[in-house]
Amino acid sequence: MYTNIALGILSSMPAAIQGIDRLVVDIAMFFGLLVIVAMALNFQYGNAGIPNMGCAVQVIVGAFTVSGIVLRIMFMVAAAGGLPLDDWNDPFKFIYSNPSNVRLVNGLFASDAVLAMGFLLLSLGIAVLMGALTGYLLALPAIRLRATYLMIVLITVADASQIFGRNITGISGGTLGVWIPNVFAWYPGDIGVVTAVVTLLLGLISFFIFRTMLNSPYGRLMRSLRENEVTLASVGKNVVGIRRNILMFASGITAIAGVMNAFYVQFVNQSDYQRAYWTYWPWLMLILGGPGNNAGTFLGAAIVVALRRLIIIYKFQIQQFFFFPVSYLEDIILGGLLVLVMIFRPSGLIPEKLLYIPGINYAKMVKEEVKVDWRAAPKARETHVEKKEEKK
Amino acid sequence: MNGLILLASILRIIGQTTADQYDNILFYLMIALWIIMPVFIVYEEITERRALREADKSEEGTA
Repeated sequence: MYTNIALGILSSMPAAIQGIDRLVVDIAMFFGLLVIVAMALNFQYGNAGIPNMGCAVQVIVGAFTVSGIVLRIMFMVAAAGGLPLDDWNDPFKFIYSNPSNVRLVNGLFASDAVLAMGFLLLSLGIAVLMGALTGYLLALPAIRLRATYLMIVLITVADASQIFGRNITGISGGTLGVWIPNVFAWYPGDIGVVTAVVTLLLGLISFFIFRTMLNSPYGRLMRSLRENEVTLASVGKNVVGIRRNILMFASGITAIAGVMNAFYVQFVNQSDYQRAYWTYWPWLMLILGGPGNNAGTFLGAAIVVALRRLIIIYKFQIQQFFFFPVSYLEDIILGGLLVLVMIFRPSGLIPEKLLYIPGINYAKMVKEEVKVDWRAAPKARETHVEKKEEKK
Repeated sequence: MNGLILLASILRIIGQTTADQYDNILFYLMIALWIIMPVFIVYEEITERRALREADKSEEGTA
């Protein structure tokens, strides 16, 4: 009954995805994608002080996972299911038979939603693993060096990954790119809106994962690493190991953005994963909002994404107010906002606050007059009970 | 897997409706998700800042 009532109300409304609603869906989609990247960056730089200037690497790994690995698995499953696919085994045929093969796989996904969603989950799983592996490999040469060298390595690898994609045609079709089957082909309506919902859901899940980690003792360890790694090393913590783990974890999450972008545009080409877009824009979001807190990251992402999409979509209307081509406006805003924020609000629009640990009073704990709200701090309770037992 | 089958079944049951209505449902779900995230974060931020202010007075709870 309630379903019928809800459908009745909804059917009386105009069709959603028209005109300005298309812009809203587009902004929501790119907000979802970039907020995942910006949150991962906040996790690395804002909380652990690791300046990851290679977010584009992890995003491109996600996209390449779809085009280089999952696409082949899709073809194999479709061929095993009896679809008459053209040969895709050598790199030349992989590109030139790609459109017709993808069309056939789309037909399969249109009739089998479970299979299609299974491939989406498989893509996400493989991308997270590949992203983490990339993080590990990136950490090997540079993690022991100072932050500046790590930044240089990561910037270089971001460009190198595009060069690999351009020259090894089996990964993403070289300069031509490859089409990706539509995993939402079973959905009868607008594909953009369903992809945006899934991306925002993934963004929400990522947010809760990062939030849980940052509120845990590991989060406090990360902050101490950012503040003074020498002190941390002096108390016996493995600084290199912690940095490597953080880089691996955040790289895995960032790769999700690459997967969802590939499924949104249904096409992967290395030229879509430029450093400026997938590294510098997330950095601007982080610096604008304020590093070290999720609220700042969200605010920065919302402002930058909305600004960017509005410029792109209303470029003809905006053009009359400027004497230079409006396509330069994006870059001017990127540079200009960064300079303005660094001059007037160096800690961002929402500055980082002190860490609040509910129920724990360190000053009194030292004097052993502790009154802790144990429900709010279960971990502290365990430690405290252990200490008491040791004393007995 | 069961969840996906359930989702597919629900979509099939509502299958008499047109695609526009699916779009409407998802569009408003998208807006809700888009609103829920920042509202939750802002709420949490305000709560923590308030707790910090109180903790400052009693010199407890900060690190």
